[in-house]
Amino acid sequence: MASSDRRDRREFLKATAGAVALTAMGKAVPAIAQSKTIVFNDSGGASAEAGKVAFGDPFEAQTGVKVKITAPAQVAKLKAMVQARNVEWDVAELVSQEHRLAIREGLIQKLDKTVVDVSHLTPDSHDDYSVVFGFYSTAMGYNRQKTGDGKRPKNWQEFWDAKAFPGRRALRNHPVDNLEFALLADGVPADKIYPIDLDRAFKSLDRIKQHVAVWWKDGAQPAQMLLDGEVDFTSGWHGRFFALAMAGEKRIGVEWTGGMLKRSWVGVPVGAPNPKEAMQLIALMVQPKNSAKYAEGISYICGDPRAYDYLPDKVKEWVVTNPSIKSRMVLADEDWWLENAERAQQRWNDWIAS
Amino acid sequence: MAAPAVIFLAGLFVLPVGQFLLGSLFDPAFTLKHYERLAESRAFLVVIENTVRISATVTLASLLLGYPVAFRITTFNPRLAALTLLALVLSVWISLLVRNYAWMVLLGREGLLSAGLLRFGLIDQKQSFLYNEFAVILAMTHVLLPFMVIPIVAAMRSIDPSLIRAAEGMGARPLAVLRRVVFPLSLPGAATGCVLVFILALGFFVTPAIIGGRGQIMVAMLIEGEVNEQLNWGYAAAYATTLLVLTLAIFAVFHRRFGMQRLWGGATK
Repeated sequence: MASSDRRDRREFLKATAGAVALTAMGKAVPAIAQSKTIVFNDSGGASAEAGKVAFGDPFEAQTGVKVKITAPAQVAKLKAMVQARNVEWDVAELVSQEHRLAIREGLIQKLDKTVVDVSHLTPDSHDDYSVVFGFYSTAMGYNRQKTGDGKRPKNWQEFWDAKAFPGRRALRNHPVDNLEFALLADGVPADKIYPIDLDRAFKSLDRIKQHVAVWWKDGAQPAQMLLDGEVDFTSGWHGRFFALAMAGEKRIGVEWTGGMLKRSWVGVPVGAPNPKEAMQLIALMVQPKNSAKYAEGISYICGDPRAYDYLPDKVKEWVVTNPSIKSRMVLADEDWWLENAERAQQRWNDWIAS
Repeated sequence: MAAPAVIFLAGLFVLPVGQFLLGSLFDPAFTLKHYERLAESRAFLVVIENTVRISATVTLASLLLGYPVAFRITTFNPRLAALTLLALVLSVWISLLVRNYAWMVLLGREGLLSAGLLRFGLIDQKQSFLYNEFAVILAMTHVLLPFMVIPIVAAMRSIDPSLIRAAEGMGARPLAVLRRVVFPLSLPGAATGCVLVFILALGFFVTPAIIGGRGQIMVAMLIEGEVNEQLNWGYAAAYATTLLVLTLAIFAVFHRRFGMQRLWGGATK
């Protein structure tokens, strides 16, 4: 009994050792034969799919360098990697004020402007460290089937008016965008929103608190709740609504008035393994044709006005750089949020928990 | 004998976690500012109360539901018992996010519960059962039940059958055997289950975040905000340390009453 056990164990160990050796060999061979791969970390999901078609594949066709797209975009992970001097990403997506945070904490390096052509980009879509590769927004979504065009709020003042516009509402469980919406609802003109008067914003929020049925946390919730009939009006990132609309979903409508215009940036982390190729990829991401292709997938586009012209008409209705949409929106002030996010979050936590 | 395991744990667990938690006191110089800020935070007290209340309720629910299930399993033939336990374990391996979204579908306005109650005339219009404490407790109990059932089954199985035979031999009827022999001897297993479920529940994030309402904000959600968005790791560490101290305190009470080795399924004597 014992000797056969020993034999079995030896056989098992031999087999395992063989398998491990094969795997190791398998990994070594492609490393010699394959070309370079750089890593682009982005939000994932629809953005990654659109990014592969618009940026990854063309980049590989042009340079022979493969682009591996990872997710999600997390500035905390970026900070940890840079601090540990073990950076996995070559190009990192930085969402909204996170990009200012990344610059302040010294997490991304200066753009190589000889490689990245910023001459055609609008001033609000680039700085010394990064470029906007996706203008997105937080807008108001509603269930077209249930409310149609009749009794639905057409701006945030009306959203705040539960009597005149009955219906179940949802807002994000976060101060970002909600403080601005609260001020707009309180009658503050769009150009006077910043610096945000926290007291006034929270007083305004007090008025709507009881009427909000759901405080959403996950980006997929707003669209899902509208489709499920869980809520009638909600704030939400418009890219999610766009994805459904393009897939044929006709029940979700979007009100752009008073929406928050936001920016998603890309930069090269300090200590990135392939900075040269990273800069080349960034340069490609703001090329009009590539950016338009990205927008076809997710409706987020860069700051080069020429990109807009490459869009099919049905996508033009969803891209926030569309002049008729942009004029109705408020550009989110990333600098204010950089300075005040902590205070605002603390106050929000206190407010929402009580 | 235990040395390699200890080194493994120390190097890959204690050191990194310790380093993070120490960040609450050193930023980089020694400072109490994070704890001062914590003490001033109104949200924190409310959230801790939510966390403890929800965890305690989930533990109670798991106990009430899990105990009879565990008992029934011990009466099964070995094959059926093994299959049932396998089913329980498999449920733990299914993605938490998927299970939570499933609850959203079931409990939502257009969901099964709403439709069912409407059909039987118990409600007069479609209703959502989401974004409240009921939904969170239901979903969390659903996820944590196996952690209650399995220790109780283990405890019941370790009861010396000769004790039962002795009781029967002395003339005890089945109900009395249950009440006076099986039940008391299964209590340590129930206690183990309670501690496991409670401690796991304390750290829950996903369920209260997507199924809960304002009144169900739990500590892990606050920690996530500080770590991921504010990049204020010192403050997040202060939150985490406080939660850890609370958890250790519960452990201490459990140990005094029942002995720590219970959790490992160790000898009852």
